[in-house]
Amino acid sequence: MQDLTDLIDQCIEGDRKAQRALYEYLKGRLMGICRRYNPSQEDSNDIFQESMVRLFKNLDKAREASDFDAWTSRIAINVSIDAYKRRKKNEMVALEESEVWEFSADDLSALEQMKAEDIVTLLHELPENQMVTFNMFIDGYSHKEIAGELKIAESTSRTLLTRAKKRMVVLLSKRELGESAYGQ
Amino acid sequence: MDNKAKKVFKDKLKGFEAPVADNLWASIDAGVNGSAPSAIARWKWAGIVLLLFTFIGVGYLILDGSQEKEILNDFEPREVESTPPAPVEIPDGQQEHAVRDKVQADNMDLKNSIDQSAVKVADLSAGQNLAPKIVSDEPILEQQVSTIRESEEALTSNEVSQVSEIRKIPELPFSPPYWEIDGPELHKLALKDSVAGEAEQTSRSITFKWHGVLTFNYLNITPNKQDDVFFNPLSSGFNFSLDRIGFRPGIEMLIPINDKLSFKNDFLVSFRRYNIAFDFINDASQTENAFERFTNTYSQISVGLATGLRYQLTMLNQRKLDLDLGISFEQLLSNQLRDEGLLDSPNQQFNLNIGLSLYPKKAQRLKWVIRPFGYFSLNQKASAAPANLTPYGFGIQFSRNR
Repeated sequence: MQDLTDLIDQCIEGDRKAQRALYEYLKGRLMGICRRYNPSQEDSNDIFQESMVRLFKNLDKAREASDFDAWTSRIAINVSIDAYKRRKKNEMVALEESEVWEFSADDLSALEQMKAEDIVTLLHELPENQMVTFNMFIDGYSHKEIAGELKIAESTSRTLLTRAKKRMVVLLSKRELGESAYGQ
Repeated sequence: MDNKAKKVFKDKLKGFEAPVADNLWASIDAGVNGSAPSAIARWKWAGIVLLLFTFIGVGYLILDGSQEKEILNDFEPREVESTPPAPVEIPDGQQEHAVRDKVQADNMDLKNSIDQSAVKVADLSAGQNLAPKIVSDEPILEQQVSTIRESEEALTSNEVSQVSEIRKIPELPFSPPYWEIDGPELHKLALKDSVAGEAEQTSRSITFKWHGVLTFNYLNITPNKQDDVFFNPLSSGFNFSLDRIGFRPGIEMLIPINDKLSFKNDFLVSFRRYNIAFDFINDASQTENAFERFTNTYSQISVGLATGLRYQLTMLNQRKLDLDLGISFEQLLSNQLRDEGLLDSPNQQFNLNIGLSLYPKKAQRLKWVIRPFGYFSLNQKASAAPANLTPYGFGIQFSRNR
């Protein structure tokens, strides 16, 4: 593969072959992010397209970025969050949960054995506000940043994350039960 | 989340790649290097259906119109051609003499024609005592000449074109009551009048009408049985929304097919508002959970096309009553209901519409057409969310009659 900096320069100059090559390089990973944030394949496609167009139109800014991959990921995450915000202007009533809740060692062990696709499927089974909060947390956002981005209270962000974890454990146990039943 | 769990998820999801459909590059390429393809692919088929209806309607109208014209041409009386004759030089002092000669000659023709008509009518009357009636006792020639004298000042030029006006002056000297005569030719004349009159009364043109509509919207909740969320069926507002009101201005295009049936196409913008409230348990498997109360207000904005047929049912107390039936397609431009986490609502809606239009009496001062109608969604489905919402509704439409 060509040197990434040269490829970016050619893309900026409007070379369509270079643009296609960069697209091929990025598409799987960026679609992966879009899928994580969107249970619907159709929405994921729309967000992926919007992310790619935004990425190509702002490629000159990529030169300033120290980590190109992180920069591209951030674009896909931002577009996904924006799409979520557009879909969901009225946030659901915040539910406070003071309880701190963590995964057990068994849960983590089960998660480690799962494929990435299965974890994404698990995420899709969460209510969308929990799924987005969970994804943002995994992607390095703090509760303060999540609250700022989604225009919700910080406590709501914590509550949503706790709920997401609880729900995932339930879904994990159901999955395990299903697998063991299938094994018998 | 503790760091270990976070790390597990990060490691698992860091390199996650999802398959990408082959056709996406074309859209991205167009978006980057050219004009982005508009996201109207979903509209295409709706547009095609609408155009199809429109073309069929217009085509029918044109064909129907030309046939009608032919019929009318057959029946309508031929008007006397009034092409002005070429100017004739008349020496000064001989003006009145020349005109008098001309009128005399013309009048001889007219008199012969009248005589022939009288004979014809007498033949057709087959024994009935039908004598031609003379309107005035004054001889036709004298009537015409006196009229020429009255308008003599206008004859300053030597153009005999004025003579053609003279031919129009006398009315027919008698009015044959041909509709009472039992004869094949005159029956045809009577039919002519009837058809022409009817055609005049029936407007066969495409009409456009603005209208305003008030809608009252219900929501149908289809719970996703695969989900753990349990909705309390006893909670108020479970089956429908509370503030269920909407406004739907639009423009209606009517293409008449015949006197009773029309194609009806409606271009509309819809604003709907819902207030939803219900009780639910987020995870029904944990029986110790109490119901949580969910309440929120949502709006939807959509544009749409409705197409169908309108049929004149009957006359009700001198008011025309029409029934219409059709389908509509709506694309939601803003849909706050969509994927709330708990709720989901389709962004494209296909509805079945039925309505009754009540027209005002002809003499009525306020000429409003009132159309109560109902609609319900054809695309109900289970969604990925715990519940899928599709609208039902009814409303009342107002438009000015023309």
